[in-house]
Amino acid sequence: VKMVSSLLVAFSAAALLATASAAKCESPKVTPKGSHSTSDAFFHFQTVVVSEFGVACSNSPKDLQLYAVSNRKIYNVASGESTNNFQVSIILEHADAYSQTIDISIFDEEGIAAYKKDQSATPLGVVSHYHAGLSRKWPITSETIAVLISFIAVYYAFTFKSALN
Amino acid sequence: LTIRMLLLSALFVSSLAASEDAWLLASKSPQSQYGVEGMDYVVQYGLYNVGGKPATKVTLDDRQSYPKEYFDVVQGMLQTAVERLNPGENITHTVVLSPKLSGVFNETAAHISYRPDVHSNQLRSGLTTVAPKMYVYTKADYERRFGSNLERFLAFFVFMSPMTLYSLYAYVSSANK
Repeated sequence: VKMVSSLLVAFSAAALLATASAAKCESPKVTPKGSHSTSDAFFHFQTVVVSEFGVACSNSPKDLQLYAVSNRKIYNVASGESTNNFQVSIILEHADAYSQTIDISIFDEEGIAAYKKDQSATPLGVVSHYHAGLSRKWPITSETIAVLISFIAVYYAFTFKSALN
Repeated sequence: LTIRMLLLSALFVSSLAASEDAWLLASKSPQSQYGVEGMDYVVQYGLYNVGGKPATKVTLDDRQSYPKEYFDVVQGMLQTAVERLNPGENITHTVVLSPKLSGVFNETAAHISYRPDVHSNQLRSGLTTVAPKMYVYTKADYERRFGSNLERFLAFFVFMSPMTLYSLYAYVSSANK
């Protein structure tokens, strides 16, 4: 037990050191730059929501790493190479992708550490995307229905003809 | 007893990893079953840091897999960077494309590069896993296979109705005689 606890201490110390962080965003201004979500449950394996936005900070930090929170899940945010453009990709199972407004809260490294302790921490900004819901393909194709109707018609014709005889 | 041994060994291995540099596993996979002209085609990239140090200045570049003549980008960036990926963290990045032309597209992989520690001068680079060969169908093919065929059936019934209705009329009139 003593060995386990000392290992735990060593690991958590290493993890804390690893996350001791860099840039902070002062006076943030978050501007949405477009978002898109897939709306076909048959065509895609999962529903994907992609949201792009810009973040302007008064202190123009160099190595800004942002995090996004949506539906209590934390996502890492990817950034564009040159322009002030960030992207969050959220993947939902089709069952969870009903029509809804998806709110994405943006945090910097300090902010996400505060969020992990207290979920009511203030984000840099919130980006919203309205997802209209999914369309599904009917499991029965129209060809199947046509074949069934023709079978019924032929069966009816056959019995009618034999009744005539 | 075995569970305790498993936990101990897991902690031991992870504490060993804590002294190692960052190591990224990169995957690329399609999120869409088919490619169809003009319809969404979603590509998903996953970057996982399985090392013990944060990976910094991570770049992901897949522009060469989807040239502008063949694909429109609906949303998302094909060239991105992640400033920092802590040990154990991952990022899933997706791009929504729209194919412009039909045909076969070869297997493709994206390029990644990263620094294995916060203040490291070393640059590690590599490729993601390969997305399989992709076939983009024409819109007409897709509509024929999966689209609503209601108009086709209605047209068929309209064409068939004269013959069928005449036969019915002939039978009814002969039955009444």
